[in-house]
Amino acid sequence: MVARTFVLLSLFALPLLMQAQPKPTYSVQPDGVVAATLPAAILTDSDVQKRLTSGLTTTFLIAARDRTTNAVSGARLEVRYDLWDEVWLVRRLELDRKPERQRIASMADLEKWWRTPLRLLSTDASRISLQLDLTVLPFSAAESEDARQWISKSGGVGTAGGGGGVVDALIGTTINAKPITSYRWNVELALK
Amino acid sequence: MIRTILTALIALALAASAAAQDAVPPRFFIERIDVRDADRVSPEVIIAESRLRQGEEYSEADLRDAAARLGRLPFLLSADFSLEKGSDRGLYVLVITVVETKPFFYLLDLRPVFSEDDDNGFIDIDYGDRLGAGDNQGVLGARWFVGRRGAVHFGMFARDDNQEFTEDYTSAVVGYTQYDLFGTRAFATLNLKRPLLNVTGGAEVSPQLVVGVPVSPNQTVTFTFDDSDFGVDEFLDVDGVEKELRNTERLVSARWSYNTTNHPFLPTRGTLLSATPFVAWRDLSRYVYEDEDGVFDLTVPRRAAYHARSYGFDVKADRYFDLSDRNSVSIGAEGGWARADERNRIEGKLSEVQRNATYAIARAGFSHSLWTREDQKRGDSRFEYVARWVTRDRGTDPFFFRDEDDEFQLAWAWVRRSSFGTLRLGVGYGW
Repeated sequence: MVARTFVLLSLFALPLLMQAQPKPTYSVQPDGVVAATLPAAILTDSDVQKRLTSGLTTTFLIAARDRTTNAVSGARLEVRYDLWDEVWLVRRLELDRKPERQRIASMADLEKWWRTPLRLLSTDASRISLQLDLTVLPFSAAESEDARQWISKSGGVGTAGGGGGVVDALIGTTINAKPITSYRWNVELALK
Repeated sequence: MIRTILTALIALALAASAAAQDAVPPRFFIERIDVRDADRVSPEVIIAESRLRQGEEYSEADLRDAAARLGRLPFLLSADFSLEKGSDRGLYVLVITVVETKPFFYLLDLRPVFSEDDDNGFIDIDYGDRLGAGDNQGVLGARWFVGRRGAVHFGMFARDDNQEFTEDYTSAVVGYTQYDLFGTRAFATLNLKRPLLNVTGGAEVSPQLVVGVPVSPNQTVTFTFDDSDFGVDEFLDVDGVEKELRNTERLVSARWSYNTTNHPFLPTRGTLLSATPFVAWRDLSRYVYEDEDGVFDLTVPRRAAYHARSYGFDVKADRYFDLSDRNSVSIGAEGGWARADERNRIEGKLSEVQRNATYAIARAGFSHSLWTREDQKRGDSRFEYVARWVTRDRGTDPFFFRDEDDEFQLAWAWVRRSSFGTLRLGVGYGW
């Protein structure tokens, strides 16, 4: 009886547990660009939401690693709620694209913007083993010019000039404030 | 038609202006700073230590640095920043929500290094004394905030540096710290201390003054005047005759530091650079056991007055990297040089010696938190692994048989931080 109750409870709990592990969805864009749509549940995480409404910037750093070739790429999202204008000021940095800024009037529109696929990396392979790391940081990573220069000079991640997208995306994990939260997902994708 | 075109142009200009404003890193005019959840710590002290001022404009980088500074304070476990609307458009209230430590605190750092003695083939315990010193220290005390910007403290504190010509000792201390000195964000601490350990006996109460002056948001110059009186000790020599010993030291130093680390005792990210020039005077009355020709002779104790004026500097550089919520790595190096002009007067005969001493330490570390990110807001429990190469040249020293040391060390430690303090227990092996 106890065992059956436990099994039943486990069956009921299983969907809840699965729901507690939000996962991105993936798509393939032209030229073999792998894109990911981040789960909306991240925006509603209590710690993240508290930070989003703090009036200060929240930075979402996304690092994508092809586990076969160890190639690393990434993207960065920045979100700040302007307390006086009552709008969301957002910024998106993606693979091979210029930074894109927007003013968003409502939480619903912010979620819509959030669901726009993020261009992560470009590949010719037919299958890819992808590791995706998302780190949520308080404060803006854009102002860490000193960190960017230090990392560039040390040869750690990339260069400050051309190809600085990865540097832009990855700085902050080393010098900025303590992460609010972080996620890691591993996925095997068939691209062709 | 013209009105429509003008309206469109104005709208376009406004949109461009808004876009341009968005492109510029935001700055916030802080009308007021509101410290929340501070029961024991004075809000004025927290504001002073943040180095922010009400009525000034700050960027997010400024606020991030201020949050990091508060995170390094030993009496706070965490400090979260947020903004609220101020009294008028464009004005903000900066809300700092803190988690405090308890008024009683401890810092126990015990990491003996077992070293292999090449000459004798046995394992010896090096309690960090001289090589990689700083591994073993103890602080036990309490702190109360008084008034708007003051704090009194008492406890037992240890002083342990890597320099050759200065004394390491433990003392009982009572003191007072004034924060935001004259509204400058500087602080001054006046201590009265009485050495307890590593003393020749009968130690006296002596003053110590520490003044810290911020020169930029992440840089501080700390001036120290430290007068130590290890006292007069009466003892019986080999002939059973009562003799006296006296040992005093005066140390003046100025330490420049650049600190962006996130924690005072177990940082996991950021940079710490420091440079400390110093000068020290040391007096010691003692007995030497040698004859007039300088040959060791235990049966002929001769009274000697020793005076040394030493000067030198220490430099240190550490860099910490967060790898994830739980893991971090670090690299660091430190070194120092000192020169001492020593004067020995043995029963009227004066001898003068100049000695140079140097040391260097290079280290790399890895630390892993046993706690989740949520739990780390109220402390931490970590494993630390350190690989370290240390070398020392004492110069010619009559008190040591070995003038040079050179060792590679591997050490492991468990670190526990709570609202009461930090405990670091570990062990190492050197060869």
